Amino acid sequence: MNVEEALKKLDLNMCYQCGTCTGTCPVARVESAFNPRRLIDEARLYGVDHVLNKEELWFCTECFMCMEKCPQKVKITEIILALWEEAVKRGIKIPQKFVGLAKAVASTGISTGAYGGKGTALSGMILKKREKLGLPIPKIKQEVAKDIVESTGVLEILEGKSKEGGE
Amino acid sequence: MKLAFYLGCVIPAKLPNYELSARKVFEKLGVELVDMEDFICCGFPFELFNHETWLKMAAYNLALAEKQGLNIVTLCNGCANSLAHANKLLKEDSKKREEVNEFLKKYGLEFKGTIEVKHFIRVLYEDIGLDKIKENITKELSEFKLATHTGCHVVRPSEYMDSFDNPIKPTKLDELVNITKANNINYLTKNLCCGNTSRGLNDNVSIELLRRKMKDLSKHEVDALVTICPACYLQYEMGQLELKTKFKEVYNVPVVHYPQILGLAMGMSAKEVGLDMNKIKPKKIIEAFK
Repeated sequence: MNVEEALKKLDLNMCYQCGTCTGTCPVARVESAFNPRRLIDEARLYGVDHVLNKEELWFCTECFMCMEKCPQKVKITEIILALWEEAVKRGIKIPQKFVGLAKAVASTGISTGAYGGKGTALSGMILKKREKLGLPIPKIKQEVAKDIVESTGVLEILEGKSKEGGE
Repeated sequence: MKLAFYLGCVIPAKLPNYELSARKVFEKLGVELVDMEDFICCGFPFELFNHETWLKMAAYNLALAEKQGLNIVTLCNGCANSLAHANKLLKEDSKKREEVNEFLKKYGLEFKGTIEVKHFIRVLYEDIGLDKIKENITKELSEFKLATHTGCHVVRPSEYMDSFDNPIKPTKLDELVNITKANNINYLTKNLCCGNTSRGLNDNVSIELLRRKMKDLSKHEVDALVTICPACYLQYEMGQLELKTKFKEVYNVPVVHYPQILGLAMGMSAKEVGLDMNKIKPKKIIEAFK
């Protein structure tokens, strides 16, 4: 399924431009460039390519309030996330935090920078503190996380090396 | 009651005060937590840019707990959301389930759709119940002024979270705070997103959302802001330290995890619920529960 079809499945075309989303959006209150109503409108009028290049696409804080309140049940937040996935796939924008995250998960099994080293061990300082508090050592299976990251090729996508190239 | 305890990433590494107090509260309420072994990231952060990775990670963790025959409890809004969403999706979509199960085979796991995923406040509210918790309350917190912040992903999208709480104006955490008899205030920005997820994408948005909440809360002079999510907690605690060093803005709003508050009401000391590890000290509360 291409991204246009995916957005239709998320009821992009059901939007009647009432603006409830923008009115309820916490980000729109502090950053006037962000306007989910307009993003939705432009995505269907001018197409996905047009909105994928917009800087403000990345201002959403994923609180899901707009989606919850939408009278037409347009899956607004999920539309935005689908656009993020597409932008990353096409290499239009690759936030460094995603790269760091995928690398951390592949090498430690989890996403916290505070975890270190191979075999998903917690860093010595944290382990000591946990022991002092009587907290058990978490048993994490790093190999599986690495396996999953490799199977989906997400790191290659993030590093612009995916087989599909620009697609 | 026996539950599979899914720890996630941030809590075991950065918030032992949260984990410690939650374990103690559950123990006192007769809930047996079985720490999940061999778990991995819940997948939540991947939901933003790679659905396949998200779903596989969530499915793996779900299948692990299914193998133990236990429902999952987690202390994190993000983990609860990711795992509950994947659980619902895989229960309903047989094609996706088959794909995922094909992948899980090599670990000897299968997603069957036999368990539930709950955030711990839902376990407290639905499975233990306010009455039972009340029976365990030995100290009233009526001299303290508290404010709550439920956060987003534990209630929204409501269709993934089983409409457990009102998704626009959640009330369950308030009910859980109110049974301690604390003075739980209402405030203008109560349901405002903490902004943590915008960090690294648009730091200005993140800081501005934080600032609005802190400006509002500082007017009320609360003894503590009560959270139930590691991301919200860190945004408010570390965020305030950042506002102080970068912008010379000082709000001094102590942030606490809900089980710390409940633990105190159940007769534990400030030290027992790990309040000494909170970075912005809720001084008045610590003093009263020495």
